[in-house]
Amino acid sequence: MSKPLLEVRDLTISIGSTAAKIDIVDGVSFSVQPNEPFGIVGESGSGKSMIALAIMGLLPKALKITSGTILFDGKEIQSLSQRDMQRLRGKELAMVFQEPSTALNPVFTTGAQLVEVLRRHEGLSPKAARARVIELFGQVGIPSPADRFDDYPHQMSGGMRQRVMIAMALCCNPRLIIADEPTTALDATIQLQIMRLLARLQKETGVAVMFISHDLALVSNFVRRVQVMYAGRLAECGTAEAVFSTPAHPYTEGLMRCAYGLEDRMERLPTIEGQVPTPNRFPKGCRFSTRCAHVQEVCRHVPPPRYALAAGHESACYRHIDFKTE
Amino acid sequence: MTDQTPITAEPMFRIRSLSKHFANKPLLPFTPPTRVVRAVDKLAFDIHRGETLGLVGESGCGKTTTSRLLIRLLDATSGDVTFDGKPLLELKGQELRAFRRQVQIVFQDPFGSLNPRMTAEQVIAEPLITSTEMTATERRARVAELLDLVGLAPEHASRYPHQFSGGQRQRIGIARALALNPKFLVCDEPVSALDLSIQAQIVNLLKDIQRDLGLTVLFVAHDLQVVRHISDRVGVMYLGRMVELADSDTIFDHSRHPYTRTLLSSAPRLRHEGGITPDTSDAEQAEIPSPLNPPTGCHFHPRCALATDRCRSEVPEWRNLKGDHMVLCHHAEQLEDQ
Repeated sequence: MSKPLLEVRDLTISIGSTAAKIDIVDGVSFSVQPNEPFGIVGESGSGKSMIALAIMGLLPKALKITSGTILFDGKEIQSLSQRDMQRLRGKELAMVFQEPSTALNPVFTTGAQLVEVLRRHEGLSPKAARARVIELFGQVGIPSPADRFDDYPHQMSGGMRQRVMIAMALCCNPRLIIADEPTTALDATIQLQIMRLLARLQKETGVAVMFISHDLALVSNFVRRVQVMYAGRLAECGTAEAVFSTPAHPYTEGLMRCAYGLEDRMERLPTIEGQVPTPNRFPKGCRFSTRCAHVQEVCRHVPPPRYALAAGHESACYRHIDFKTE
Repeated sequence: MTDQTPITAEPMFRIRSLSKHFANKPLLPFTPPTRVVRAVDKLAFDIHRGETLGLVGESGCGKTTTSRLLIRLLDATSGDVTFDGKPLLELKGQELRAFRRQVQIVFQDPFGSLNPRMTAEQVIAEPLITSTEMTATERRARVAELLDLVGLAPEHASRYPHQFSGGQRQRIGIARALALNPKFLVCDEPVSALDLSIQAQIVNLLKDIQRDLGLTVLFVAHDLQVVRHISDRVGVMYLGRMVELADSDTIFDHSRHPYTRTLLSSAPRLRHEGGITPDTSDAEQAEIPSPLNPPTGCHFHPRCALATDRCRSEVPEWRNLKGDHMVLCHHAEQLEDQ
């Protein structure tokens, strides 16, 4: 394997004072290779969006990185100054947000918002920037791009706005795009179009994409490696094939059963019992222990380490071996 | 509900050419409005007693408007609807209030639909205060019964909405809707704000309640997969019109409308082997047209592979294909089983 483009080591993000701090992301490590479609799956409260914001240097003020390092292209970026981070953000690292209607500025035309990025980071002349934006609009499949240049965000549909967001992310030929739930706000038929667009652009431009979603089935169609998170910790990671054909964590297996349940008609839908614990009620040991069907005494007291299974396949479960998918 | 309603051929709702148009304010007084959205356009279907009818479609298709019309939260522009044999759209005063006690709704957003200043008990008891003569003790007992019915513990009664997770809040919303023993329950996207593992819990709960209480349910959702599990019959809507209606298995396995097929094929399926879907073409670029300016003829024709000139000019007829399989398409017969 080549040198990773992004490496996150033992990242912990906490909220609250040192006396009463809660680790909403706890000791998460992973890496993204150049040119790789990588996925992070987790339900609400899993900390997946917080990791994305931490990488982009956009964490809300109340949250702090309390330990760990984020390396981008071998350089530490979590301690960069605002100024240096601004140079990186938008140019090397780009982000596509969930809600395209709030991520775009409503008082500027969509074209002008992309021109701003190009002029700032690439120093293009207004004319050259306009030409480039129209080219980008075409690339992301916006019909008659020259006409849409002067449209305001409200004149576009949700799907079109998300295409604009993707065009904006591509502006400066970034090396990593973080797509945080890029299709959650969109209708089913449009969701598929946008995902295929992202997959095509990933292939064409060779940009690494970190794809964050709650939708296991969706992710399974578009990534090569995947990381499953639960309540701020890693549950399982590995190649998509390993994780989705031989899940080695009861949470992954439960999510897969829920996803399968939807595909076949059955009397009762499979569920994972219980609720995701809120951060102030995280169990002491494994955070999934309160909902796990395979729980043992040790799970309740000591957080499980990461067990390496096959190549690159890791599981944070004591019972990763004897636990089997029925 | 415990009192046995005799199963008769007469449906609970009989809906004929139901329409709802939203118009902007005219620029000048006494002039017609310049823009009209036909949010619901000439719907015709029945809702049978004791069944769960799923209503599916993408944003702007009119599914929520339809559900609001049926419980008279919105007034229809035109149409003919009977509820229990009585003309629903003409109900007024005393009769309308009596109708409203028999219908309830569970909302999509479990965060916005509960008053943050009221405890779970107060939320659930409110309809009992406004619409029954129960004493405080009786109400307390009824709330405890409802909490148990939706799978919450008695100690949850004194907690406030922010102390609950999304799934638990939705359970409170369901308990509130059931407080007055309604006959007809509208569930408007009740699980779309919830995580996958919690969605299944709520769907199972609604299914149990529907069966145990013999409720008639209209289940509105954009997610076909969820609807399949809870519905006896499913109606698919597109831009204000219903395009297909049949029993759940027929919709999923023998659909005869190109839009239903598109919707079915765009639901992501778990890929066992992982990796990238080989087909990464984004050939289907078409957008959902604006309801302000829908395409002529069949609304779906710009996105439809079977479209002919006839589809562009002539609105298809809402017709029965066979055995209560209703479809709005000129070319339904051309679609074979998948």
